[in-house]
Amino acid sequence: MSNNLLEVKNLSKSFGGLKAVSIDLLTFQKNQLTSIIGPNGAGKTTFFDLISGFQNSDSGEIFFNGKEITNIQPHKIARFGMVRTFQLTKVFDRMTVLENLLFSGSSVKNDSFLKSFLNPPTQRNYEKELQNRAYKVMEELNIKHMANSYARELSGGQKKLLELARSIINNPDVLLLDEPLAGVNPKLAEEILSLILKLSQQGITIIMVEHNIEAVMKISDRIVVLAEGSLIAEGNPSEIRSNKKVIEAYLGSENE
Amino acid sequence: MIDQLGNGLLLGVIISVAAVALSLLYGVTRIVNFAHGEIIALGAILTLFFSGSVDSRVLFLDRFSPLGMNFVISAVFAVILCGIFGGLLELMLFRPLRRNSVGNIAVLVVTIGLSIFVRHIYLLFATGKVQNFPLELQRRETYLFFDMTPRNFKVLIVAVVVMITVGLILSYTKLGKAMRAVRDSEELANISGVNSDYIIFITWVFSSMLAGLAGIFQAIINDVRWNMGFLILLLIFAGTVLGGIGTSFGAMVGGFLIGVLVQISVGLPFMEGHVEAKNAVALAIMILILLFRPQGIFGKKERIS
Repeated sequence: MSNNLLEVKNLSKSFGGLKAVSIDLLTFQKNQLTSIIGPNGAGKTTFFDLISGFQNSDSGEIFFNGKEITNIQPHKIARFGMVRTFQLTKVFDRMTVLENLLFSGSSVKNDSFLKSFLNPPTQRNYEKELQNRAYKVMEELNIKHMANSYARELSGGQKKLLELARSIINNPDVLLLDEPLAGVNPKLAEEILSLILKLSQQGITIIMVEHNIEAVMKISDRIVVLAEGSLIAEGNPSEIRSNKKVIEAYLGSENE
Repeated sequence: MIDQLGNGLLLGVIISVAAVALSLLYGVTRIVNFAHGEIIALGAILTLFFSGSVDSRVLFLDRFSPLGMNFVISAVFAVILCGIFGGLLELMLFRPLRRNSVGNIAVLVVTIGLSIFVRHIYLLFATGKVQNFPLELQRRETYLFFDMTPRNFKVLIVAVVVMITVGLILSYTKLGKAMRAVRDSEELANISGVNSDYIIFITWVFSSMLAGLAGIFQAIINDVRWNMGFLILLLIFAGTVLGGIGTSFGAMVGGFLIGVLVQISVGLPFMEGHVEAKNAVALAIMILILLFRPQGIFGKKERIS
């Protein structure tokens, strides 16, 4: 058994005549923190949509944990243990912070229609355990004091934290973060960055799309560079920093 | 005015059940369903078809006699068939539209077209005549401070029980929570492991069953007409908006208020001889309330950014 947790082969997706993604082979290893960078329109988010099931690919195969997950529905992929976030932060507006976590944390088989009325001891234990987990995560992310606030009342930064909390409550194998630092102030960005690092050290495999190059260079084990839908380079931060192709296609065109 | 209270309570619970169904569907799918009235009528027409006596003068398609089944069994069958009808609408019409990212306004227009189409199918099938369920006439009796027939009182009780059940399901079951989750964000529900397509399908079935039931109630209390759903559709919309769009509890209360207001206004002194204008008073009150509470009675103001 190889160390490849996620494997993408010959993946392609076009919109009209535009090739959004065209990748021959790309693998992600267990316990690594990989960042995907590339200029706007490089196909980073489309790539995320494809591997998380939100869009169907035109061709190609995606394997997760040795299982083929190409073009299967997003909720199934989430249940397999690959959880994503979105560029525009999404939270359940009409639920409190705690309810957000409890909802995302409850596994389907343990929360049946009948059980929620009958409330047998196994159900109570399960709920208790879930609640403990939710409080632990909130404590870790410093949002415990907002447990009973409605998510719609949170600020943008707080929603980012809630989104992270919700993503990790089920101990996913893989976390796909779509621009986790976009639109947050520098202090919170620092906080989120160290959190991501901590999650990575706890053994969660993280794949992150991010425009903040400094941050990416600082925390990534490995960087994947996309341009116009194709893979143009991969390697550790120092390799990427000195890669001519990358400088041409990406760093050169940006005012960093 | 007070002698209209019994009628008001009855219309109130009918509108209320129908408004919850409409609001639930809107909440989860963002579809403003103008064909809701036709699902209401379907409940009543099917019940009439199943339960009408075989040798009655009622004929469907000018040829077929009713089946003469037991009334309660007929009603149950009709509600189940309404659920199946709603489920089929989702599978064959609204899911494909959603897949192709057809906009909300276009979908709204589709529901208007669907409403007109289905309504006229009823006109062909059940004729334009006003019909009645095969139920014997009853004398009004006094309950507390209002008058109604024992049968209508039963309708009132059943409607209240149904609404409490719906409230419990929405608040405490995984299904209810999943519906609320899909309402807030379909994508987010997906990554929380919820199959949003399935939840939307169930919502269609559930909403249509409630609508059909409301139609049966309406027909027990009044009569069966091909356009009966269409006639009360605007009151249902009014109730939903009054309660606060997207809140099921609001729709229950808003729908109930609208129904009661419509009937009570019949007893106002200046309404004598102008009973047909009863909707005017209730809807004027609705507009007034919305002027002061734009988010509806139970709607919440939301953070914009």
